[in-house]
Amino acid sequence: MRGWLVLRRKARRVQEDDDPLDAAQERRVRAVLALGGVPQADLPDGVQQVRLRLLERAAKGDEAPRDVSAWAAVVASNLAMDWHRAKRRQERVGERLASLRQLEHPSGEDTSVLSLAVAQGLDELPDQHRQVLVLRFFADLPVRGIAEELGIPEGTVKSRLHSAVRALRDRLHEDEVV
Amino acid sequence: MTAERNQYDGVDALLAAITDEPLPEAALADAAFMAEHRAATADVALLREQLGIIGHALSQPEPQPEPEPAPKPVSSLRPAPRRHPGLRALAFGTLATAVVATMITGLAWLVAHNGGMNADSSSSADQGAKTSSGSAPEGSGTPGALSDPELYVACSRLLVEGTVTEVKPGSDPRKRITLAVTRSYRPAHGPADVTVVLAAGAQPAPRQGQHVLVGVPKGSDTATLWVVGDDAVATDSAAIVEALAGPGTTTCPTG
Repeated sequence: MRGWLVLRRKARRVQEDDDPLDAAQERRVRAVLALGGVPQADLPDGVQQVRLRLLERAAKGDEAPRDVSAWAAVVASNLAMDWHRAKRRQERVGERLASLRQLEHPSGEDTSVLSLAVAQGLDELPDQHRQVLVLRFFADLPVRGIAEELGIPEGTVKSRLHSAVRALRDRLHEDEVV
Repeated sequence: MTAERNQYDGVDALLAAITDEPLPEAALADAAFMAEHRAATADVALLREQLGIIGHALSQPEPQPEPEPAPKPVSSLRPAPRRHPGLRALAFGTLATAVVATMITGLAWLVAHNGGMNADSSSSADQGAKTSSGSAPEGSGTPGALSDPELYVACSRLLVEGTVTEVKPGSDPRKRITLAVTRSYRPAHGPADVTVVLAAGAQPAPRQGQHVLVGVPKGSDTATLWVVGDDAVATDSAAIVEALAGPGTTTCPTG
């Protein structure tokens, strides 16, 4: 009970003066959540969840993560998985991306087409495959790090990555966007 | 180290590109393998770049209503802080959710306790405008939506009464409504015209000429109070006036 009260007090202070996530980490967490299929409207809640997990660790007396950015990315990817399991709503990344007027990329229309194709490919991946894909190629975590953080064998991570990338490659080549 | 179907030590060209691990010497000498590896590496680099682009694009904050040439948007009345988490936090269903509930401002409490507001944790933006008028026909909205007017006033950043002058579709299913303000309750002295974002499913549907009462909570850019019709507006406006004239001791809960 006392620990919870401490956590609550700390949580109240989070947005005021003691934010455990810096701006870059917050942006990264938002992106991992979004790539995991969490709707934009729920991204702030997801970011808060990550903050609170950090505070929970502190309240329990656990050491701070060695690499907060990596740790936060993994937590965010797990939250996205939880969000999908809850099945409150289905968010198609491809549809969401298509609704945006313009992607911020200098290459123009071709890149937008490619981005949409990749986003639609993400939608077709199993959640576990998409999770490791995002952690590997967006959060830039090594295979071993992903395996440790997710508590699964390295071979499983490699297998999921291989399947995910192959599926995306096949899709993009079939669609002739690459 | 035998190459079997372009694999070395169980690693094919694609997996080698994915893991970015050093290649065995035998693989380096295998022209076919190396060609496949180069193609895979290029595709992986492309995928990495695209995930960055997509992640960046999808994680941008929702666009705020942009100012029209004449009417001034609601968002300009007060800088919007971080988007309100609301009860959507429940969607994540963890212990921390309970703590989130202690952090959010009064809207969550308000949503949960005010029958006139959306109690669906998933989206106040989706259904928040189903308020006193509910599904009643235009102009015959049931008055008395505000079960706790003082609390609603305390948690609102905009409360105005006026006439709908323009209804425009937004960048998403929501609509942008411009009002010619006849009375501004919060702030006490607001602009003559305001533009607010209204959920797509708001009933009665917004139309030019409607007499409405609109409320936008703190930390949000979407109206959660949408009262249509003279009688309904009069009733709820009276409740707001009474709340504003009260002792002013009610504060928007923060924990």
